[in-house]
Amino acid sequence: MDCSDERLFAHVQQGDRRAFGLLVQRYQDRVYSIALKVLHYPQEAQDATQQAFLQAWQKRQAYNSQWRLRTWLYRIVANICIDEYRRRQRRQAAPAECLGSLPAPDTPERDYAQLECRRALESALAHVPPEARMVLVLCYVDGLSYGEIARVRGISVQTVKSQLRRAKTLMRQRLEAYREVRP
Amino acid sequence: MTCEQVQKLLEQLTWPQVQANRYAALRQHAQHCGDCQRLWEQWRHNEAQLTLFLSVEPAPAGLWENIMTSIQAEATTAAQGEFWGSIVLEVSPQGIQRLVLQDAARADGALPSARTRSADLLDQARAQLDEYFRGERAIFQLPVDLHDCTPFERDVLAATATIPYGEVRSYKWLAERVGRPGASRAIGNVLHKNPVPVIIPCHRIVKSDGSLGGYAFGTAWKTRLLAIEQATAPFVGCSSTRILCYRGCHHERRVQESNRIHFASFREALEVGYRPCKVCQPAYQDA
Repeated sequence: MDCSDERLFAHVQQGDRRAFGLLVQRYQDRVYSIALKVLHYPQEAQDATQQAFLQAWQKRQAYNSQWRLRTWLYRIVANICIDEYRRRQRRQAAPAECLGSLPAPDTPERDYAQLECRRALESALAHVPPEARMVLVLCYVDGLSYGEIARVRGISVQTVKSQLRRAKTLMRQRLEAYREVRP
Repeated sequence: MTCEQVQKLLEQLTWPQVQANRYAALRQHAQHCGDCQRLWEQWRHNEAQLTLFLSVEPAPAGLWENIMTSIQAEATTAAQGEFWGSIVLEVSPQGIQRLVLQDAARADGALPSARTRSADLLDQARAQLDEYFRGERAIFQLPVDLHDCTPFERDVLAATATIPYGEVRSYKWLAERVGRPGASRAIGNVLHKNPVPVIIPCHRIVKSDGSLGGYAFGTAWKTRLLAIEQATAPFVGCSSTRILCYRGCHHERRVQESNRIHFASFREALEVGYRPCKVCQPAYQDA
């Protein structure tokens, strides 16, 4: 079945699970990546992805076809991730540094450098507030426009721009600090 | 383009956005301005790293299957809820008076709130029906009010109530049981008008030739009810007290998980030394 998301979702609204399966296939990587970048932990990201698709199925009648499907879907996953992030904040202090797993001792040097760089990026991302982080992730993972991000998050385009600027500035500052330590 | 404008744009834009419409202007300015050249190179380096880091990653293996399993489970629960949720109960101080489907209740204008006189009994009946539909109950411990029925109808319904959980009997068997061997058709009519189906298990009556026969709520209901009963062992024994209960008896609920033994037949349990519970009395109903 090769058709647009919105046409496919019209079948889903009539209870077609096969059509929904195709949409899950189409979007699971992107939804998972968004959740992973915001929540960081693969298990939490997997749970959030599963929950997002389940919610999309349960609320399929609430979908308004005037919206792009991905905007609606990302709105669901964004809300789940932000809620989960806040719950985690209440449970414990936010993980600040060294979020990535340590490389194995026999990792080759080049891979080690890449892992170090990735860890620096993860650490930098962990310092970006969740709302700004979500905007940054939506912008980069699926190249959403400012308008789409604004609809996903329910904020103005101006706020999207300022949050994105804030996130990028924080990332840049962290990365520059990292490069000063490890030129 | 001024240096301030370059700085502001680079703070805000992503690499694809720059590529789309500002690339030439920014590059041109950077070529003629040393500070902006460094800023531009640094920005490109950061963007490359960020784009790579925030690129789409493959979802873990098995995620699709997990999602589809949860959708399937949700759809099944919702469908069952719709199915069972359509039941409407009416109670009198003597007991459950009527069990109908919502559409039928609407049709004769008798919604439960109009005739509900015992909220506790109604809650109890709802809970027991829910347990029955989930396969957690093999008997109903509810009073039934049959005062609107004729003596013949009462006899037929009382005999129907003795058919054990998970078993079926024929119309002919029932006719003989009430002492009217030639009245199979009349018995069929009584069962069709059964005021409390499910609780008085008229779905356990099938035709002598083995076919399903009719049902007041439709044969889909009859099939589902029989399928639930076929899938559930009706007796639970406690290995420490050697007492045998019907599933759903309140003594059965107190048996610890490690002591529970499930039995499909009463006789089977007797043979290995179990005795019937004095509350739910499985022996009498299984006779």
